[in-house]
Amino acid sequence: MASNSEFGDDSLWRLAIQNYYPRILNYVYLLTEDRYLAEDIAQETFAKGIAKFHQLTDPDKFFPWLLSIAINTSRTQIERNKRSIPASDMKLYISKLPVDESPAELFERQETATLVLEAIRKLSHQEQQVIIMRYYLDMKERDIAFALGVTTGTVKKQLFRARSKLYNDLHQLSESVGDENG
Amino acid sequence: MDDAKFDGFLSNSLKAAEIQVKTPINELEQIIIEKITVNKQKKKEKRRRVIQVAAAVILLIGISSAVFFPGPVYALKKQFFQTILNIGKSINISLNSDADRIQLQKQIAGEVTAIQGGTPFKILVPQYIPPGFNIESVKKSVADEQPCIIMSFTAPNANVLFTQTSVTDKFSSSVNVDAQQAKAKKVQIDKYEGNLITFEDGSANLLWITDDHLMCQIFGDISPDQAIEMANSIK
Repeated sequence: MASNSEFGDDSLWRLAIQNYYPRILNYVYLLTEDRYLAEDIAQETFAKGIAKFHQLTDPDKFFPWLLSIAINTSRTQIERNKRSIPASDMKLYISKLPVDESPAELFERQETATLVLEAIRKLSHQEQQVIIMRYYLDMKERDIAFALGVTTGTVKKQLFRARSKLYNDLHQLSESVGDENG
Repeated sequence: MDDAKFDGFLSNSLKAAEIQVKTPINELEQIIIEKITVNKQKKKEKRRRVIQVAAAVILLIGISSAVFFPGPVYALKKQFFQTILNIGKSINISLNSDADRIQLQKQIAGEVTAIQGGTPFKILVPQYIPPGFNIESVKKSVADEQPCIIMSFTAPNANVLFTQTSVTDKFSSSVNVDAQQAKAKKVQIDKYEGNLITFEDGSANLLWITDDHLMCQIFGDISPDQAIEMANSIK
């Protein structure tokens, strides 16, 4: 961003993009299952974040703050782009592979991920958001609350409810995966 | 399976579904910069439209109120003035403070020529533009029955509109002003009598009607002296 000094410290934004762009991208992707839409929203999130950076009051909340921009942007963009790729097609995009993984293990891991995403898809939108923030982004409850603009108590309740539903749907699958790994 | 194991299972499964970023960082930065530019332009365009619509509404109220509503509408009109002034103050457009005056006049002339064709009166052009201001647009309002030309001038954190509206020869207008927040006085604009309202915050509104039945109005973040000078320079 060397040509745009108005963005403040360019190197910091470069660092922020390196560190947080993949996380924002995947957060939106896991919600929408649309790579192109996710890329567009993640890029828009950074464009808005740079423009609104002066509004950030607590630097420790940078990522939850950025995520709240992504959430608001997603809301309008998703409405505009009512399109989605079926969860069954998702395996096409799964590309993070451990080097020592066999083709059979890879196939099984993809199948498991697809089943988990299908179960998540049955939750309400807010529940999907908290699950992805908690289990994919490893965020603390208070940061999830900040990003969603709700209380920590609400997040706790939603997480508990969503996790219980997922457990009912997936515990047999998780047992079998656990058995094979263990 | 205990809670920790199930949580681990969820976490691992979601991370297995992760996609990789394919776009190089430099390219990403470029895309983001372009989006910032587009967003700024959209925002600017949106604000400009709001100002123009508000200006058209003011003129419509100014015209219709004299005929239909003698008193109460003026308070509403004043509120619209304030709205416009507030919008003008929040605009942040960077302009070249060393703008060439001749170039500016050429630019205005070009914009005026473009819309003069369909306008039933000769569009008036101010020869004096307050320092720091640049022409934003010259538009014909389609919202009113009376033909109306709106010239918008901007400077960093300031906005001034010059409007000219064709009115009937029986047209009359009056403005009620809250004496605590604004002062009104009669001023001479060429051979015409004008009404100058100066608001407490330093902004002004100058209104006069020409012999050719054109109601002219200059208002926004402009000092009274500058408004009068601008009005007197109109050709």
